Amino acid sequence: MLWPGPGWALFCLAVLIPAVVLVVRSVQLGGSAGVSFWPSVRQWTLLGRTAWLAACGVLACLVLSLPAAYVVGRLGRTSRGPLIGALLLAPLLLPPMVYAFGWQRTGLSLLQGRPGCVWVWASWCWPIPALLMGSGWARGGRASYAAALLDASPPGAFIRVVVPLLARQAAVAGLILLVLFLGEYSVPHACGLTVLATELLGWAANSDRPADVLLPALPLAATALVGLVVLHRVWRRAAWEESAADGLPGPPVGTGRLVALMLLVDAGTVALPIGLLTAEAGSWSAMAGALRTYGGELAASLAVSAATGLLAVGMGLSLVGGRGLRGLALVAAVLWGVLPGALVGEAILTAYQRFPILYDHWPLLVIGYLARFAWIGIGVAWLAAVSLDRGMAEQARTDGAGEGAILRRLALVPQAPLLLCGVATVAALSLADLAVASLVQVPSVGLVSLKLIESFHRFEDGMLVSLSLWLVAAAAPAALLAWVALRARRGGIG
Amino acid sequence: MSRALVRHGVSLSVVLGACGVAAAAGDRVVVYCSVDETFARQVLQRFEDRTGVDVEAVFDTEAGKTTGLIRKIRAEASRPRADVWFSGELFQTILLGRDGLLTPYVPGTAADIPQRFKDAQGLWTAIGLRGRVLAFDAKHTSAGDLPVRWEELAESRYASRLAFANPLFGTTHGHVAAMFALWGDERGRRFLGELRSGGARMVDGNSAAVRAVMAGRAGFCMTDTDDVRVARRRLPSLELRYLDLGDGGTLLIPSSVALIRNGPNPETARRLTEFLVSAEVERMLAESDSGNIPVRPTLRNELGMELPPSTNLSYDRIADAMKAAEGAVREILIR
Repeated sequence: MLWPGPGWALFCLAVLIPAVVLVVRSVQLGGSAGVSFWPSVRQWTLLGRTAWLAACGVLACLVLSLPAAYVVGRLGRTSRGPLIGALLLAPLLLPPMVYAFGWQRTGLSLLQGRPGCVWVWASWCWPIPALLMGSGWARGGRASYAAALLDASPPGAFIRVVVPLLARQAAVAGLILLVLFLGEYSVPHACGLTVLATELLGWAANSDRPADVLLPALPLAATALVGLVVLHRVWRRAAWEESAADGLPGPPVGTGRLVALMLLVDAGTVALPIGLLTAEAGSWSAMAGALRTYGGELAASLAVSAATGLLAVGMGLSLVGGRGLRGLALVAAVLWGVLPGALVGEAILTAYQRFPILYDHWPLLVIGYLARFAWIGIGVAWLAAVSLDRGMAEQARTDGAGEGAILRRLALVPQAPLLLCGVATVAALSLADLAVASLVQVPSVGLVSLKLIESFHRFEDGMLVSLSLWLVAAAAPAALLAWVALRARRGGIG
Repeated sequence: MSRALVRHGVSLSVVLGACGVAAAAGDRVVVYCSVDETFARQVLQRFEDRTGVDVEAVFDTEAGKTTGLIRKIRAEASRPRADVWFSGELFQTILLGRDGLLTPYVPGTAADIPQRFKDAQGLWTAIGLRGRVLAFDAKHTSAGDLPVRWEELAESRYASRLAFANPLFGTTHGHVAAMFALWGDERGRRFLGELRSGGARMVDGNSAAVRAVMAGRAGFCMTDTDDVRVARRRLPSLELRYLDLGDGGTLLIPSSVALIRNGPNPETARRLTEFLVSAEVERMLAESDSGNIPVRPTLRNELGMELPPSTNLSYDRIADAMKAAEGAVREILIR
C-alpha cells in the first residue's frame, strides 16, 4: 500500500479542518438579519443561469473532445505518440482567463457573453473528456468498432458505435467538468457575466458571518451531489464491452494523420486565441516591461501553482493507495470544491489565523488552492487506480507483489498522461484563481492572477496581453517536459 | 496503533516543516491597499527607495469587490498583520475607526489638508478625490438625452438604459448610502425599487458597468471618474457627466490613509502614513491616469484643477447611512 499519512495530513489541512471551522463559526455567529435559509429569487435565478451555462459548457466540451478522443483511442496509449500526448496536455497548461482574453480579440459577437463563456470553457477543457473517453475506447469496444467498419469510415464508425458505448467515461468527464464550471469565476467574469459564484464572492467579501455565504452556496453543492448520484447510476448501468485487445492499438492507422488531426484541434482551440494575443503584443519591449514589473509575481505564482498541482495529485495517490475512507474523501473534496472560492478562502483564514507559520506566508496560498482543487487530485488518482488491469493485478498478487507496487507499476506508470493532466489542470486553475486568492493572499507573495484581472479592469491592454503571453511562455516548458517524458516511456516500456 | 500515530505525526511534521519560513527581519511595513495598484506601486516604491524600509503590500482588486481587505482587517483584529490601510474610498475606513480597529495619528504632512478631510480624533486622513459620474458613449447618446439629477435615473425612460454596479460593494455602496443620507429611507427605497422595476442592469463592478456601455448593452452607467478616464484608452468617445445628488452637486469620494490598531510595525507605519498623505503623493495621484482631484486647494490651483459641484453631506453622515442602504439593497435589489 502507498503510505496514506501525507495524503490524510494534507486532506485535513486543506479540507477537513477548514470545513469544521466554517460550520462551527456559522453555527456560533448565525446569519445576518434578513438572510434566510432559503435562497432568494435572485439567487435561484443565478443558480439556474450558472447550471445552464455549466451544462452547455459540459456538452460543448464533450462534443469538441471527440476528434481528440478518437486519436487517443486509435493510438491506444499516449506514450505511443509523445507529440500527441504533449498536444493533448497543452490546452490545460494555460489559465482559462488567457483564453477568454484571446477569444475576445476576435471581435466576434458570437464569442462574447454567454456563448463566449461556453466556448472558452470548451476550448480549454476538451482534453479531459478526450483523454477519459479515448483511454476507455482503447480498453474496450473494439469488437463493435471492427464490425461497424464494414460499412462505415473509421471516424463514422467511432461516432456511431463507440461513442454510445463510452457512457461511463463521458459521465465521469461530465461530472469533472460540471464541478469545475459550477465554481468557476474567472471566465464568466472576463465575459461580463454574473453567475452565482460572482454573487457569493461579493457576499463573502462583504459579510462578517460565514453563514451568509454558506447557506446560499448549498444549492451549488447539492447540484454537484446530484451529479455524483447520476454518475454512480450511469456507471452501474452502462453496458461495457471489455475488448480482448485490451491496451492494444486499433487497426493500423498512420500516426502522421492522427498528429495532423490533433494539430488541427489545437490550432482551432489554442493557437488561434494565443496567436491573436501575440499579434497584439506590439513589441518585445512591452513584454520586457511586463516582466520587469511583475516578474516576481509571475515566478512566485508559477511556483505556488506548480507545487499545488503536484501536492493535489500526490495527495490523491496517497489517499487512493490507502483505500480506507477514500470514497468519503472524494465526496467531501467535491462538495468542498464546488463551494464558492471566497467561502473556502474565508474558512482557511479563520482556521489558520492563530498559526503564523502558515498564515503569514506562502503555505497559506498552497492550502487555499489545495482546498479548492483537491477533488481533481483525488479524482485523477482514483481514475488511475480503477484503470488497473485486474487480470494482471491478480497475477501480480499471486506472484507476491504488494498493493503499492501493483498500483505504481500497473496503474500509475501507464496513466502518467492522465496524472500529468491532473497536475496541469490544478496548476492552471490555481494560477487563474481569483476568488480564494483575493482572501488568502499574503504580503510576501504577489499573485499574477490578480494583476491580470486588474489590468483587464483598468483597460491596460498592453499589460494584459504581455502578462498573458508570459503565462503561455511559462507553460511551454511543461508541454516540452511532457513530450520528453512520454518519449522516454516509449523507449523504456512501449 | 502507535506506529500509525508516529507515521501520521511524521507526515504532518513534514508538511508543516515544508512550510517553515522565517519572518523577514529589519525595517518593514505591511500595507493593505485598495488604491489602484498601478499607481500605488509607484508610490510605495518611491517610499522604499527613499527610506530603505521594506514595504510589503497586499492589494485589493475589483474582483475582490474592494471590501476583501476590509474583511481581512476585521478578521485579523486579534492579531493584526497590516500596519497601514491605504484605501480607495473613505466610508469603510470611517466604519473601521468606529469599530476600534484604527489607531489615532495626526501626520505632520497633513497640516495643509482642510479639516473636512481629516478625522477629528486623527483616525484617518483623506486625499485625492474621485467623483461619482454618469458615463456614456457620445457616439450613441447625446448629452441632451441625459438626466440632470441622480434621482431622475429611476424614471423608466432612463432606468431601462442604465447599468450600475452591485451597491453592496465598492464606491457604489457609498453612493447609494449618500442618497439615503440626503433623501431619507423612503425616497431611497423608492429609488431602488424603481430602478429594479424599470429594468436597470445590475452588474458586478464599476468596470463591468463601463464595459456594458462600451459594448452597447447599456446607454449609460453610474461609475467613478477614474473608470471613465482609463476606459477612454479603448473608447475615446466615452464621456462623463456630473449629476446633482439633490443639494447642488455630486458625491466626491476621497482615498484614505489610516494606521491599523496594534499593527506589528508602528514606527515604520507612521513614517509611511506621513508619506502617503503628503502633497507629493497627492500630486502623483492627480497626475496619474486616475486623475484624482487634490483636497489641498493650493495644489488644485497649482495643477489647474477645479472641484466639480459637490454635495454638502458630511462623510460621517454618509457612513451613518451605510447600514440602512445595505439593508434596502438586499431587500429590494438582491431578493
